[in-house]
Amino acid sequence: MTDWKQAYTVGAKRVGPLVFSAGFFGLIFGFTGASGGLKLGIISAMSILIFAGSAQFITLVLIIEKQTLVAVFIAATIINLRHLIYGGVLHDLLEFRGIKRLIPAYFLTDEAFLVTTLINKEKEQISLDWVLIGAGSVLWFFWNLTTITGYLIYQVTQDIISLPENFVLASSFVGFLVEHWVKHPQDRGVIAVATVLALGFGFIVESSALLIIVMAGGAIFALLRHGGAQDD
Amino acid sequence: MTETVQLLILIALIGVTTLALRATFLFYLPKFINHPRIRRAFDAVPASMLVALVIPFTFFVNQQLSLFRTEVYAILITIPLIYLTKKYAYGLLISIISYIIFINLF
Repeated sequence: MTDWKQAYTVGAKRVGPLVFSAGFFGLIFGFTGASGGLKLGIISAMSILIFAGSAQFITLVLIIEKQTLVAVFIAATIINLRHLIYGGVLHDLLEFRGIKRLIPAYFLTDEAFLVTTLINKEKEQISLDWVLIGAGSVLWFFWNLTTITGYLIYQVTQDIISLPENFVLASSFVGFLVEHWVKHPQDRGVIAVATVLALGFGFIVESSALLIIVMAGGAIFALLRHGGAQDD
Repeated sequence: MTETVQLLILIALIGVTTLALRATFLFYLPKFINHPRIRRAFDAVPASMLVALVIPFTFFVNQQLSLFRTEVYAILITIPLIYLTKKYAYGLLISIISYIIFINLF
């Protein structure tokens, strides 16, 4: 197997446990869009062109609520600001140059970013571009498939049995969190600080803003903790 | 028809903006951000991101702390199970099975 195929397979396999979660939310996304009276073409266009779960949900809800197009655009853009951080983290890790970088950029979702950065800490000799594309493309496939399925389910039955959404999201990532705690003891301080921040700010900000605050808080802690250390 | 076209243009605009946000620092990272200390801060992002995806969604509902729920018990029991078995990839499966067991027990 060539290097890029191996890296692609690693990304595709590693994202496996998160596919259920993404698929679950894809179903809800398609179902919600259908219940809001939107056409399948519009709902699918979001999953293909935007391909960013939380931004899609806010876009969908605001469109259904007949908000102005400018408000929808601004809300989606603000929620997507965290992707700037992801790009900064991956800047030196990716090998693609020039216009080819748009391919991993398109697949740079929360889950694909997570899988890529975790693999980076474990395996030194692997193309992270292809890991990211592998993870992102598998997510893309299931996200779009389940979006359409959710829409079709609404046409058949409007009574969908589901697990609590928050529970599915939290339990999708809890295994990764435990793994990170075990395998990367140097990050335990960051995890502890981030936990305190998450518990503190959980009362006052909603999930997307909380994600940015906790990530920024963890990063600032890491910066300050190493502040006195000699630079590389 | 006009509304559909407007929505499609809006979705395309959001799609392009999303791609631009993802690509900006991938293509060009300003020097002050590429400092070794800042790189260490960036290295901490995955860990804190995992916390942000687990803690609030486990313990909060609509920004209210809510501890005594079946979902919380299921996730809390999952953590030592994953830790002891080292089956990190099975977090979701273990917690769903725990959740179903708890639902049927109580």
